[in-house]
Amino acid sequence: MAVQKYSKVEPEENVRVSVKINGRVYAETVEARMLLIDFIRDVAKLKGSKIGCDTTSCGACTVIVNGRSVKSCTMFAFEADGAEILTVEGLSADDKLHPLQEAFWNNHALQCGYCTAGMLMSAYYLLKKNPHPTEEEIRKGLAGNICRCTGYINIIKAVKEAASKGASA
Amino acid sequence: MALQEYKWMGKPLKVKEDVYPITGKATYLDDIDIPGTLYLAYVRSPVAHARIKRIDTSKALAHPGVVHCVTGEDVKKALSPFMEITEPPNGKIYDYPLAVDKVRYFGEPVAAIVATSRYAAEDAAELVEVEYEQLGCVLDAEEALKPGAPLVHDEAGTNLVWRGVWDLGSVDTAFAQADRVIKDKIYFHRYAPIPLEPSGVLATYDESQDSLTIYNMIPMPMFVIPMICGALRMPPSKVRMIHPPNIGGSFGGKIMSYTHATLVALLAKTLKRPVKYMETRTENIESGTHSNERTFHVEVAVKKDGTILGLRAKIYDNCGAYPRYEPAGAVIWSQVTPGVYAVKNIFIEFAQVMTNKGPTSPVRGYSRLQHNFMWEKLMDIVARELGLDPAEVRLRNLIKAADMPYTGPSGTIYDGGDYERAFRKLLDALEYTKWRKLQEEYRAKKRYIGIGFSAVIDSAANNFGQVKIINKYFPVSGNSEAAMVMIDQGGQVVARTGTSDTGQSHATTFAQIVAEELDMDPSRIEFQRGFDSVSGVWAAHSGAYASRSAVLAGTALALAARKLKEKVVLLAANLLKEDPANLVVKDGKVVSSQSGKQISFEELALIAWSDVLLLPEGFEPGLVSYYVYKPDFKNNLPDPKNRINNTLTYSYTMHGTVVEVDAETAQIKILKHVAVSDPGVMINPLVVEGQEAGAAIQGIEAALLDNLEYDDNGVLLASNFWLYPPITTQEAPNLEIIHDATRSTSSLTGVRGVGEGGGGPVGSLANAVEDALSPFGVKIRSSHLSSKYLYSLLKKSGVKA
Repeated sequence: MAVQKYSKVEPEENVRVSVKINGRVYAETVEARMLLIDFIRDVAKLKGSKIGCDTTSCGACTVIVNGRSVKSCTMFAFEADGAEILTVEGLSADDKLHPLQEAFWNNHALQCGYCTAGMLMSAYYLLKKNPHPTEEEIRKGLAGNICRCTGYINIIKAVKEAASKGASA
Repeated sequence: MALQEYKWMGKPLKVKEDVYPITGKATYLDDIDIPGTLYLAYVRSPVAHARIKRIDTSKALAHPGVVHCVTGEDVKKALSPFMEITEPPNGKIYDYPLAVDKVRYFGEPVAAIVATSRYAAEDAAELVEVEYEQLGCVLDAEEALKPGAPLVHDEAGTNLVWRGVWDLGSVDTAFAQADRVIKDKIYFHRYAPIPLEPSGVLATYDESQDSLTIYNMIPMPMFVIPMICGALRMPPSKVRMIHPPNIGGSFGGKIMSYTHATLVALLAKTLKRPVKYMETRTENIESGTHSNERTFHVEVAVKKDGTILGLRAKIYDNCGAYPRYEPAGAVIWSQVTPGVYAVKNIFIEFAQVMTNKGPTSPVRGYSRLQHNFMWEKLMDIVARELGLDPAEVRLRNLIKAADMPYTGPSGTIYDGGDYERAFRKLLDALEYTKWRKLQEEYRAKKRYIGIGFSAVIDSAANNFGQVKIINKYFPVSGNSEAAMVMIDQGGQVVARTGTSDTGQSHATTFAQIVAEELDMDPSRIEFQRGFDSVSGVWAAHSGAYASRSAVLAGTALALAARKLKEKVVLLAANLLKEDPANLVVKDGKVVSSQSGKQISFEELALIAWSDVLLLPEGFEPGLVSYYVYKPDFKNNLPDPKNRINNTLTYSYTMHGTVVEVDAETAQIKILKHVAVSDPGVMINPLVVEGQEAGAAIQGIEAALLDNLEYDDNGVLLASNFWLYPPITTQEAPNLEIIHDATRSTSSLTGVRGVGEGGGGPVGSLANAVEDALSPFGVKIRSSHLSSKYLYSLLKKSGVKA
């Protein structure tokens, strides 16, 4: 694993990072201290994932790394070397929206849209683990994602709707 | 007139533009990459008030990747100070994007590093050495006015920004006739709006034209142009303002980012390279924008039955270290002078004061939510003093539907509605009687339930004439918004306006307005998002602020579409050889009701734009119309008593909250929250409800969580999301929102501006918690209900915990 390979790396030392994002490989030499979110946004140029805080609190940068939801500002890019990553851009296949995306759209589960990518990825992970969550479980599953606009009401509605339509599949 | 007599407006249409964020395709400012961009990082003050003795940037400049470094001394040479709204002495203060000579609040930018990457810029910022000579700081507004208090701005010679007096009705008579006079003190705390996307700016300089392009998220882009261009000493025509199509929220908080825009633009011009700055969350909380902290010393004259005859209030507003968009806040509260109540005799002395805290500026519900809170606390104070039910006291004082439109004591013209009916609906929906009964049963079991109300008014679409109360020479008044509607060469209907939203779904709602005028499916109308001062349409007041977009941009679009329709009919009549009176515009074509002959927008567009020799004589080529709407506020300018109609519409919401409070731990649990609102005609109910829910949850958050607390030395104690946690799914309750809509008597389409919310739940929560803890004699006089505050009150009342 990459973590062992670079266990003694200096922060500003250059390291080679190769990750597969949404099925495509992105390989680049970057500073060891580069955060995964910066790799996704600035190297892979996938701008859908956002940055909303400095403290791994807001969840706007949430992506799926090797099947688990991760706040990508809390992980170095080199730690993801060799990993498979899913971002919001990879949620819809062949221009067909994912049921979670459909449900977010149907329920106006966003206003400014800045939290939406992270919110969708957390919801995606939640439904993978628990295809039919209760409202309390949805609230718990999304507790690490901050939305400043909606008061969460329509987001929770959307996740319920997606679950009822079998979004975890 | 019927409430909703519309075909395309009023429908909860799916929000078209929502598809971009949910697929990751939306473009926000930080998503714009221009090759060769440099990144800016600030060095910020770790102290509240100090003289800057020395700044050493040598180590920072030697850091790899660093291109440039500026300090206050540099910007003082390169820029003129920002324009101030007040007259001297306060207008004499000097405000630059970086601190000059002194720092005046914790987190104030002192120097800026420009480097080839954000990482390098932030590293280098840590290498800048600043020597401070600490000065005594002043944090409280009333303390700041005492003789000998430290001066935030020495040049001004006072910490007072502005003081105004409103002497309305016959206050002395009202007090003379009162059965009781009740005195009290109410405090409204300071918090931050924290949009999830922090502020940011990207500027480029074009040497070939000596012009700047500023990509920004300032919700009033052309209003701040005099500030930016004045400082840069450049004519507005040389500065292009662009908003990306998406802005990640603002809640007022991004207006002040003109200071960043000015500095970044200066650096782009100096370095002849694009320069970008993205605020960090910590910076956003420390110095992005704070809401006004306010203290009310109140006296109310009441009759035994709870009728309020008069109010006297001395109000102190703490606007922090730089007034900037303030002192507007020192008059904006007067949009809601009597709240929702028929109180005619009001004396208010309002002082706005500078301190060594972060600068305040508009925050959702700007200046009015504090005032609404004062009234809502007063209602409960009066009820408790007189032994009356707080619902009854409100019902007794509410403005009556029969008196609508209602001209308030400070000249506001409330645009219709039935406050009493809405409040009674709230009592029903909340199941008030049931909870009162339960309250008693629970108390027997030592469980403490409380019920609180808050009846708030949310004024919208401001009249800048109110700023003339502060400075009669300040050249701004009224309001205006621009719109363009066209049928392009391909027959597509395209619309633009000068507002660009920060999450209010303008593309969908505005398409519904144009659709209404042209009687066609809104999905066929292309509304172009974003803002561009070169290629777009705008008025000087343009923007998404003060809940003005639906009212002002909506009207401008409706009137532009109406003008276009006239042009379309004229052309069609000529081509079809029909009487214009027989022609109907519908579904993208013009049809004759007599002959059945028709012509489509596509056919009309081809002739109008390109086959122009076929046009009738005098017909201007193209199918485009512009309209700049300027509303008449009726009481347009302030009279000598400061009376003015400061906004066009006044939506209102009646909130009711039921809480349970643990008397040992001071934990608050919301059991039920109901809001009954009158948003006027709803263009899109889905969007209106979304805005209302968001505003209500932010109000709950303001009361329970958000508080910008400073220590005695002026150090902010909470400056990131760990220490200043926003509301999450764990705390946000479900809400019940009920509409009791009536048409606005002031707006063309009958809509009222909504979305700021007037801070509704702040009052209902404070009142509910006081009600819950009333067996202990606890009196809540603060808008922030921290456990610390409640615990201290409980301890004082002798509760053992």
